[in-house]
Amino acid sequence: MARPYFCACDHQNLVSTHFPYVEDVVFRRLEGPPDDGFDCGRAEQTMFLYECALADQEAQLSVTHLYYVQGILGAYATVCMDALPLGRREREPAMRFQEIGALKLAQLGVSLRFQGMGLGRFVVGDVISRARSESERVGCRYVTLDAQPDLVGWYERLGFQRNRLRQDRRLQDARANARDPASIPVSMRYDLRG
Amino acid sequence: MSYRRTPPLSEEGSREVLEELANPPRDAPERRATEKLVRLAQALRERQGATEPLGLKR
Repeated sequence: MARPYFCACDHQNLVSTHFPYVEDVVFRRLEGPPDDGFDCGRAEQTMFLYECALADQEAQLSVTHLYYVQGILGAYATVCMDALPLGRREREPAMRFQEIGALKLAQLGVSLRFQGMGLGRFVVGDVISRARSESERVGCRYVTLDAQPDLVGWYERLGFQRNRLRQDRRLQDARANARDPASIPVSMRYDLRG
Repeated sequence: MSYRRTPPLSEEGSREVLEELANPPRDAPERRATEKLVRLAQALRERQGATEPLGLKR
């Protein structure tokens, strides 16, 4: 039987004699300083892994998961709790909630050497899987994230949609502070109900 | 007396979420492909015994 590729598209079941296979991934939780040499091509995300991830985890602000591929650190994902607000004025009187529980994919980095192989999509799928498992213990309806503007299309192709709720406020803030609205991250969500 | 006026959130966005809360998300090819990856990841974690949802187990 063919081993599954990362890609969940038509060529998922093609037999291949080379990397990448899903079975090559080993899950780890960040337990100490990450291995040297990880570079995802985005300075902010690479720096976060080396300078902030462990400290944030020890402060119980977030948890970072590592994805090893054939023994090499291929990707990481940092998650924390979140809540999606509903507008007070816009909320229907019967709606009892001001915020909807969510798990936030706070950081995602894929090593340059594994980009374009579907590892990033697999990591997002894993985060959704974990959020869904967690939703059985605590209320959690969405996976949320703040996408860099150039990655919005990539997340949309994974089924995420833009949070107009949050983004409107961010745009207002950006304009008020003379920042370029096109440069601010885009709030997005994935509905876990399915 | 001072106060800060909180700008309203998007009416359209709130309505969108309210409708979503009442109904499951619409079926779309993007979601189907992602859900396939979700199942692959879940199955792999189960095989590796790494299923603790938020990785809290050391």
